[in-house]
Amino acid sequence: MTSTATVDTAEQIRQFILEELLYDRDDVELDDQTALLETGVVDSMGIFRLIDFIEAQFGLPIQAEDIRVEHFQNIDAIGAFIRSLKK
Amino acid sequence: MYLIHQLLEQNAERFSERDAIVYQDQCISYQALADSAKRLAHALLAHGVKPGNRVAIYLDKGIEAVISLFGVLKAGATYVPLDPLAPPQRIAVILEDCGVTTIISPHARLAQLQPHLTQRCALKFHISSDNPTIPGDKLKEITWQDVMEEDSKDFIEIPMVESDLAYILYTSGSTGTPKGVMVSHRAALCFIQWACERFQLAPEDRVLNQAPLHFDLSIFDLFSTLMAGATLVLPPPGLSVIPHSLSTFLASQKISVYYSTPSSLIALILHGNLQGQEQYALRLILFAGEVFPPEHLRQLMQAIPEACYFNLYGPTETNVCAYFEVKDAPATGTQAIPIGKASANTELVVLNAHGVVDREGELYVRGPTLMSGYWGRPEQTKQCMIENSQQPYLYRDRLYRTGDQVRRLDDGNLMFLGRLDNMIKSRGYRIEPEEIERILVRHPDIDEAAVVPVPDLRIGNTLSAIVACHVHPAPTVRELKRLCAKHLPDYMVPQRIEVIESLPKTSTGKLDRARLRDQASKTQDPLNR
Repeated sequence: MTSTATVDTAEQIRQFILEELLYDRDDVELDDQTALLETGVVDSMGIFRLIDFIEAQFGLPIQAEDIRVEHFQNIDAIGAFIRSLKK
Repeated sequence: MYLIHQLLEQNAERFSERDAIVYQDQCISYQALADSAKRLAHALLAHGVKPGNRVAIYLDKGIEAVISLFGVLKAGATYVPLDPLAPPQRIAVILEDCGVTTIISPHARLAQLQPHLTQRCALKFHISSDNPTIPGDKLKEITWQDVMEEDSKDFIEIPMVESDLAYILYTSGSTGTPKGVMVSHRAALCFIQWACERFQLAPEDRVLNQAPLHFDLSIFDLFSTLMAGATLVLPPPGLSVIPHSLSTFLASQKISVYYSTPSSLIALILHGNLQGQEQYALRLILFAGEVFPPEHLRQLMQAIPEACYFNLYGPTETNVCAYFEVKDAPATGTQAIPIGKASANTELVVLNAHGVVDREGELYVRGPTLMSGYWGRPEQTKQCMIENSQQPYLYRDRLYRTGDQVRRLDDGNLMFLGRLDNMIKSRGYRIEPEEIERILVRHPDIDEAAVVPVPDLRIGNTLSAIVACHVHPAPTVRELKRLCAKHLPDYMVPQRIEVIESLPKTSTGKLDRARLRDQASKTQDPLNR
């Protein structure tokens, strides 16, 4: 895993969130540490769209037991989670 | 007992120290809940609220929100629960529509609302659930703390009758603006009592309040639970986002009764790890609001076999009017689950296109649980609350016309077949596509718009908008979504928007929704399943 790939993963997630989930929120500055769950950026619908995106984009099936707060709390966490799935 | 807040007063004596509401690390006993509601009623009346006034509750879920409902009712007023997640524009429309005079909300939330209020707004009084009053505001304002310090000893009961309005719930309206369904104490209490008895709610029960307070599923949670002397558990914010957190919560909180839309349950089945190590206390699982795909229900019944399962049916206008106990999940196939038979005191009438009782046709409902009408919309009320021509001697009896097409099965159960109009169900919410279309055509470059459902196993339907635009370049999808989100709650913002040159028409020149529906289902983006 190169650092470029890491950046790419994070960037793709960020783009997805900006386009699909945050299109109407100017009050949120999205960085890799922004809390996604507490702030409602990712809600109960958003989480599934995000999962569908990860599964389709990276070809990684996500198991129910992996859908946990610690894997989705911010972009950094999602990136780390995707890297762990790839291993 | 003929008023819904009386159930709390009765139980404040019977179950005084028992937990009525649990929310995170807080709880409130029956006695304390009744006392607090009385203080709020006292404060409302002392500050000029009159019986019959509409009081908006614009709070996140919490103990204050439940106190507020009961306090407003005790003051003889009508509560109007508002969606804390809806855009302020839409909230302003609702406040003005039913002439809300008083609002209970956090200070900042009211401040966000104020730029959208017009001359028509009748708001006079604000109870701030957090910050103290900021001097200079036009509104009279007190804080929640002031309310809780009220001396309510000299409170005089407000004379009321059962036909007085208890609450107004706003649903999507086909004319382009949301409409307020007026529910009387009698209509609500009739359902609350039936549900409490039919499902044998008992003081030992712990009921999770999944539904938002502006959604009519919450009536069961709030009132049937407290009528039984049971405990209502309010979920912490964001609990439903991660289904596994919800399943852990169900186990750790020993929830025994759960009621939600199928969408929430499906998320739990697909991603909640229900087959894990948790021990559930669930004895009753109720669902309503949309069709439950049988394959998912089967999985749920296998994961939690101890629970009893009921499909409840009823638009906001009728309360729950039909129910069906699912004894065995269909072993195979996709045959839908019936909506069942009438609940107590209700009659379900199926009329064909000629207005004659038949096995298949439109479902009409009569009985005491019917709404009193739509607030300020006598014409729309007349269109759906029609004279009972089946029994002409009952000259004042009204039938509510559901717009749902049903078939009566040989065993007497009703099967839902579909809608007779364009209404869409998504996540259990009723959505009139015309309301979204009217927003989309506000964009100067959009000539026409159509919103159609795309079937989805998880949430019933997703929304797909097709818009006609004469300008190049056309507005971006993001721009159109932002326009929708400014006026509509999140569940009404189309997930997919397609820009084309003109919309297809039928031979009579009407919008060809059937064709658009087919196209939208075929071209759906695999990522937006």
